[in-house]
Amino acid sequence: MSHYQELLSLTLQGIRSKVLASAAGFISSSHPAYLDLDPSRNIDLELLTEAKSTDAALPLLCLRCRLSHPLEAWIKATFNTHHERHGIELKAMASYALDDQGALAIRCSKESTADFTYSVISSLPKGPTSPFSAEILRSFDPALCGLPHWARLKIQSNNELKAYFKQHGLLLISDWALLRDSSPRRVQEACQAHLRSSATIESLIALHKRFLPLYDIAKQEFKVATGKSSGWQPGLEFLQQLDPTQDPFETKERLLAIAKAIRQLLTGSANQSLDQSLEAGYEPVAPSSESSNGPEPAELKVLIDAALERAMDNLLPAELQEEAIKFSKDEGRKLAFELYGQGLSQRDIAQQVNHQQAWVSKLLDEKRRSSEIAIAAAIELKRRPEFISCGTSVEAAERLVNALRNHLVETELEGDIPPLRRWVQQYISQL
Amino acid sequence: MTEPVTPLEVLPMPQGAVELPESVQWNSPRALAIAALKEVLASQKAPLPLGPSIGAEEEGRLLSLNRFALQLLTAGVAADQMAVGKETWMQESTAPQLLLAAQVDEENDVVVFTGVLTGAEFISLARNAKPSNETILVDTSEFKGGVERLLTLVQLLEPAALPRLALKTRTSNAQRKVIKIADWINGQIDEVLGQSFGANLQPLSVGAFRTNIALRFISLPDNNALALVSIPLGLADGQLVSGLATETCIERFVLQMLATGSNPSSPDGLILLLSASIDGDLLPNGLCISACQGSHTQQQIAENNTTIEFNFSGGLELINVSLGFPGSNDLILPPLQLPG
Repeated sequence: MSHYQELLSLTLQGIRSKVLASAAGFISSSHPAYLDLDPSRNIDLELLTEAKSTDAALPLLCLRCRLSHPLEAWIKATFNTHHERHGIELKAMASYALDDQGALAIRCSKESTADFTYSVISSLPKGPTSPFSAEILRSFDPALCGLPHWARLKIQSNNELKAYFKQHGLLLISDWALLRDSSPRRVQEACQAHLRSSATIESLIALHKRFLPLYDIAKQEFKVATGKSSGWQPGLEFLQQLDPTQDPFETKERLLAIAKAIRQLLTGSANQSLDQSLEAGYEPVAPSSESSNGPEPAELKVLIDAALERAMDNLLPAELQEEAIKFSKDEGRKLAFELYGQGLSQRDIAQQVNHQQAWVSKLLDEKRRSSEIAIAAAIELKRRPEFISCGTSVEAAERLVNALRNHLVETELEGDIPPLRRWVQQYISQL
Repeated sequence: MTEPVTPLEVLPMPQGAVELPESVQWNSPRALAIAALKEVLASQKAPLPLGPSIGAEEEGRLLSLNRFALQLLTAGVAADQMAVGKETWMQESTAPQLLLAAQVDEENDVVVFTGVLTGAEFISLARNAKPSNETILVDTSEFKGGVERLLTLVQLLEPAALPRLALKTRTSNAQRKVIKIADWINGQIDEVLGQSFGANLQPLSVGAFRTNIALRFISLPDNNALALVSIPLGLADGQLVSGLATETCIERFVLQMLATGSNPSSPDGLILLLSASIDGDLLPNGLCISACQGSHTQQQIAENNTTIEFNFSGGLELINVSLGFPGSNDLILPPLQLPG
């Protein structure tokens, strides 16, 4: 029963739980029966009804405690999965969601506060409201879903958190967008593997199939009405249209259950699929293996090296000049390029410049730069008879560019510095 | 009991994802994708022309990038499949040369260029796809190489290297026009054979050539070879493919069609020869070739064969040739006609 009296919130020491005496006293005196019960939808509804009818602060406070738990669970799970690779911080994430300190008053404007009651939070102007729990509760419609689900849906569409994730190379995706993105095949796979439901898989797939066109229309209408692409939530009318025979609450719960199953399916399997597909087709090929006829491999290597050198001379100075302008903002930027020139791995560079590996990867942008250089060199080489097939054959063109790209960034002999790194080293040393 | 799997709440942003300004209100995922493509092209040292300058955001409209016809496909950032509209693929004249897949996150204003398919690669996948009315669903994982592949192909290849290929349905096969074998003598090869099947023509006016060809065709009457059309064929993931799509196949073979006759301006016979690309190699077991002219049908399934040869002499009826392989869609050539 502690969920209705124990508030999880961000403190200077991190996320901490505290039992609120006023909430505990309210439950003991007004709802002693709750003390023996687990948190439930029924209790949520009773407290919400009471908060609305009496406009008292304490039933709402119990609900604020209640919703802090699913928010904390969501934040911790997301943090645990991504903090190592993306450097997200638990405190920063919690600052967007667990900012409720349990006060019985809420700030209504710069100068004034009022009792934290349902009528007060309902009358606050539209837009982000602090604490976040007020935003969740004032927009919560119990006919459409449970409070824990609603809390999760609201955090998924929190624009400030979304921007924070984006800075760290992560995309917060809503359940609705995820459902729209998923094919019936994926839905089936996800439901079979991760969903335990009284509904049959066929009925869930049919529900998802009906969702797709309705979502497209509703989303378009939402965009026209609000000018925003995110934040859409299905309303009563949408859910009734989706399945007229079913209670809208049940329909939404089913959709959310499918979305959760898809998320579980994506964990581990599709987590890196986009990166993998971008990498596909870049198998290492030695540039000297490009042509079996014509000049000797040594002669070809001279041609290739000269073409790559010219391409780097042509493309890189402007790029690195632009980077150099930012060196004064952060010493680590210049150091990262210096260490790159010395042949250090991105992981080692990250450690030395005290940044995440993703930051280093984004700064060096090796894949894009090496591809652009390789294409420029290939265009030059294509004029020679040995490489003429690159103008007429997809396979030959790709093989040449991949080989050149690999040659730019891979060492051929132990201890060697690859050409791209060598070029960067020389350039940076002259700054 | 197994541990429940933690749901993946956020997606890692792939390297090379294009982040667009949130201050702009984008009308559609396609508008975001086009803005991102322009941003990528603007970062290139060499300018690559992208058109049309007006109306590019219209759904379904083909783009032109450095003289290549490009179909831009969009889906959500977490999508596992992309829908390709069939309409533009029904005729060679409107079929794109390249398909670019853009996965768009409208909620975050982010675009990821997943990769590219050439027309030939798409046709090969489409033959495998479940039939549907207006679209063909292709797994996003089939699009390879990110935007780098697009930049590679449009800058290195000649536009002619990527033919415009059309999807052929069985109905359109039945209705398509007849190929006149006599045209081959004059050095003309029909667009359908040339572009859809990657066929190439070798007029045989020189005696030495004729003699050389004669050695390969068992049923060729002396010095009667007039023109030779060859169609490169292959098996890609168990599917019969032709033309450029065969370049990446491990099993490759060739269908040679030799027009014959004693009158150098009017062929009166046709020999079909199916053989492996490398002389002496075996044809894939199970590969079936059928050819019929009127009630005269010839059919053979390869079983440890190095070649299969059919001979047709004269006759007014059209010659229908098709190839099949277990598990693959049939490859049906347009009807061939000998002069009456």
